[in-house]
Amino acid sequence: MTREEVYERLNGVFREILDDDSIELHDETVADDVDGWDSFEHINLIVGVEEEFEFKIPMGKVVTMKNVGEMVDIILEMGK
Amino acid sequence: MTLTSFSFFVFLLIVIIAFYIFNPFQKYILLAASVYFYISISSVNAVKLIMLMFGILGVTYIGALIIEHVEGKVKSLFLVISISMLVLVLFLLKYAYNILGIIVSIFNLEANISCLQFVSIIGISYYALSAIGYLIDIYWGNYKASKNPVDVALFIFYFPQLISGPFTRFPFMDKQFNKRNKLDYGNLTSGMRRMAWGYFKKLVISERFGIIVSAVYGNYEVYSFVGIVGATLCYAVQLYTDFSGCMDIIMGASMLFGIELPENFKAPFFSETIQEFWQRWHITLGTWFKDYFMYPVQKSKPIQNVAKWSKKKFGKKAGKKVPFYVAMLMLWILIGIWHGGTGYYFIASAGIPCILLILSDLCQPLFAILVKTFKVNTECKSWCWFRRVRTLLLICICWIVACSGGTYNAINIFRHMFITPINYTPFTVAMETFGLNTLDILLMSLGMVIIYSAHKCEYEGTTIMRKLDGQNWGIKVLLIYVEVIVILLHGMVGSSAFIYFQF
Repeated sequence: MTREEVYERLNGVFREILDDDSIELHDETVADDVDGWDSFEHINLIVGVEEEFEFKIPMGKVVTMKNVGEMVDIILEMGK
Repeated sequence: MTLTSFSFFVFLLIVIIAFYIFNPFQKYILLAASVYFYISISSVNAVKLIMLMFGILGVTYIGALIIEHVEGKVKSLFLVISISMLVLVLFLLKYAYNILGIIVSIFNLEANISCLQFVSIIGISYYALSAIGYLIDIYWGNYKASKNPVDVALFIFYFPQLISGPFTRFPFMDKQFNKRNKLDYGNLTSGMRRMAWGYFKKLVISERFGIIVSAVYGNYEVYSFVGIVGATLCYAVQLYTDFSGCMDIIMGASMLFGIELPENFKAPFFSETIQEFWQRWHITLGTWFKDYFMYPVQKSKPIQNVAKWSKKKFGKKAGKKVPFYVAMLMLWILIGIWHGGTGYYFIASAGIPCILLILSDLCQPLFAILVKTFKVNTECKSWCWFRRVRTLLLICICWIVACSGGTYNAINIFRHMFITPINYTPFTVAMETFGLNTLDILLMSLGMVIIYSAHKCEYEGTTIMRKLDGQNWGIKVLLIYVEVIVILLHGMVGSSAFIYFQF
């Protein structure tokens, strides 16, 4: 799985959960940059990512990842 | 010793001298100073207090090492055992009396629970949470457990943050404790200026607004809606300047040792929604509960099962709100208990905020329709200020209960607000009734201007201190002199303690 492929699928997850087709994620994207990505939606997004890439993101990573780039690194390391 | 006493300055001076002279032993000096500071501010016997500190350190240090070295269910078991021990201590020393008191009064039981009314252990709810956070991080594998008990002890009991936070993470503090700090002119001046700013907020502004709050709430029967709302807005200023002032003193004191602490406030009165307010007020407490409670609960199997069920039942959009509300309810119950667990304070610090958050979320579609129907321009400043004022007034509902001193009083205050006729009293006469003279009013007005400026800076991502740094040295020196002189001449030293110490 390449980084570009991860981003394509990840954009799909975010667009579906946040109901916004204009979302375009990058390595530096943080929650404040995306409309609707608040503490309410954060876990919905995490669960969406887990279902899409068929793996469980460890809780420690959930609370420490700083941006989308780190999320992609975790997916590349553990996802399918 | 208190943060506003002369002995605190002497203590700080001695620690600073020792810290920079005996350079290789800096963290040992800080730990010894923390133990001494804790004994000095507590009304509990020193031996018992040291035993308590050793107990909490032992559970955290040993618990973390075991959690790191075992796997699977045993790992979870040791996490549960360690946290349970810390929670038990916290519960017995802080909450048992209040919580059982509520149960006894609700069910009208004839139980004698006075044996649980221990002497209040100051700061325990802060450092117990720090210790729990450390254990959870080790369990999650976020970093390695420290093999040095001094490092763990200093993280839990570091004296500037011991009694009121802010909450930090171990690696952030450990890195700073273990670097050898050299005497730095910039750190010393910034630290002293930050402390002076904190004393100004607490002693010059907060205490004066507190006079109005005490006078109105002490005799609420004679005050109308306007009087109570006015006094509650004064409480907003009192509480903010008290708590953020305390944080400034703590952060300034820590800066004297070259140790940085995270900010706890970011322009809370500029919040446009209730949710935003809690993200800007007591930030590190919110982060602690979000990371170590809210997210794990939301991601847990039972809540995810609720999510699947509710999505089937109510559809994708509405369905995902149900598990969030369940998790939020649990979170606010915990926050209410953390704030002391007394009946009325539970309502003020947890019940009303939780209801307001859920209601504001539920009403979002309705607000959107109203905005569209009335063609409201949501881009203009007046809309932004309307939302800020509305948010503050909603938060005031919580603070009316907090100021009432009891559930029965709170109900009475709300009743009186609507039955007492509005009597026009000239401003100066009202101030005289509270015992405030022209100088007091002037200082309070100055305080309001300064708070507004500080909020504006924080909202723009900077601080009032950083803005002043850009000024010429003459202006800076003049401002510091004026600030110190005002504190010395007009600071209400020796009045009340910091409000957040009670938690």
